[in-house]
Amino acid sequence: MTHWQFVALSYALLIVLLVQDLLLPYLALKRHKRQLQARLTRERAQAKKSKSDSEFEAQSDLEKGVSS
Amino acid sequence: MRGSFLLALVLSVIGLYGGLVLAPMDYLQGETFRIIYIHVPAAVSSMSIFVFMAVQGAAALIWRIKICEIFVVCAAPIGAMFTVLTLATGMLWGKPTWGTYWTWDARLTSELVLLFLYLGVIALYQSYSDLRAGARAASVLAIIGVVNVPIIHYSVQWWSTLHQGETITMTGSKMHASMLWPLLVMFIASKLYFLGSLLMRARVTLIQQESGKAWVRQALAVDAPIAANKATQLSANS
Repeated sequence: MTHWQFVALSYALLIVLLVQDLLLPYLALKRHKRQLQARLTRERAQAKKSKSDSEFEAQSDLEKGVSS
Repeated sequence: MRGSFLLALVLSVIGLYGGLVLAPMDYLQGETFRIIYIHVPAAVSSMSIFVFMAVQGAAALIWRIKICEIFVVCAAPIGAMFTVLTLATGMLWGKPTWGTYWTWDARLTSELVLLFLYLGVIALYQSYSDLRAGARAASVLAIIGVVNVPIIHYSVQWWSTLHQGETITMTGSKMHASMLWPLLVMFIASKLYFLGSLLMRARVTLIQQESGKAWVRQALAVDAPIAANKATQLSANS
C-alpha cells in the first residue's frame, strides 16, 4: 500500500465510526418514540373501552331497577 | 447540541484542509504523517473522556446527581469509539513507519487496556436491570480505571517504547507552525464533537429513563397526532 492509501484508510475509518456514533442514538430515539406512541394509543383505547363498558353496566343496572 | 456539531464540522473541514492540503510533507515519514490529524486528537480525547467519566462518576456517587450518572454511561461509547480510532489509525501509521501493525509496546498496550475499560463500563451498565444501579457500578469502574490514564500518558517516559515521545508539551512544540495549526483546530473540533455527541446520547438516555413522564411526551411531541385527531373530531362535530 502507498502512503496515501494508509492515510485514506484512516480517514475512511474516521467517517465510518462517526456515522455509527451519530446513527445509533438517533435510531434509538426514533424507536423509543415509536414505542411510546404505540403504548399511549393502546392505553387510550383501553381507557375508552373500559369507560364505555362501565357506562353500559350503569345503564343496564338502571333498566333493571326500573323493571323491578 | 446542534451548534456543537456544526462548529465541529466547520472546524474539521478547516483542520483537514490544512492537514491534508496545506501542511507540507514530512521529510522522514512522507505523507503518512497526515494520519496525525486524526490519531492525536482521538488519542487525547480517549484519555480525557475517561477522566471526565471518573469525575462525573465521583460526583454521581458522592452527591447522587442523576445527570452525572447519565454522563458516565453516555460518555463511555464515545470514548470507546475514540479509542478504537486511536488504535486503528495507530496501526495504519505503524505499518509504514515501524514496519508492523502491532507491537506489545507500553503505550499501545495501555491504550488497549483503556479500550477494555471502556467496554467494561458499557457492559457493566448493560448487565443491570436497574439502570441507576448499573450507572453507579459503571461510575465505580470509571473511578478505578482512571489510574490507567497517567500510565498511558507517561508510558513513553517510564519505559523504553517504540512509540515516540511527546511532540507537543505545555511549554512548546517540536512541530513546525504550518503542521501544528491544523492539529490544534482538530483538537478543538474533536472536543466539540464529543460535547455534541454526549448531549445527544444524554437526551436519549434521559428520555428512556423518564418515558412515563408527561414532559417526555411533550418533548417528543408524541401527543401531537392525538391532539390533532381530537381537533379534527371537534371541528367535524361542530
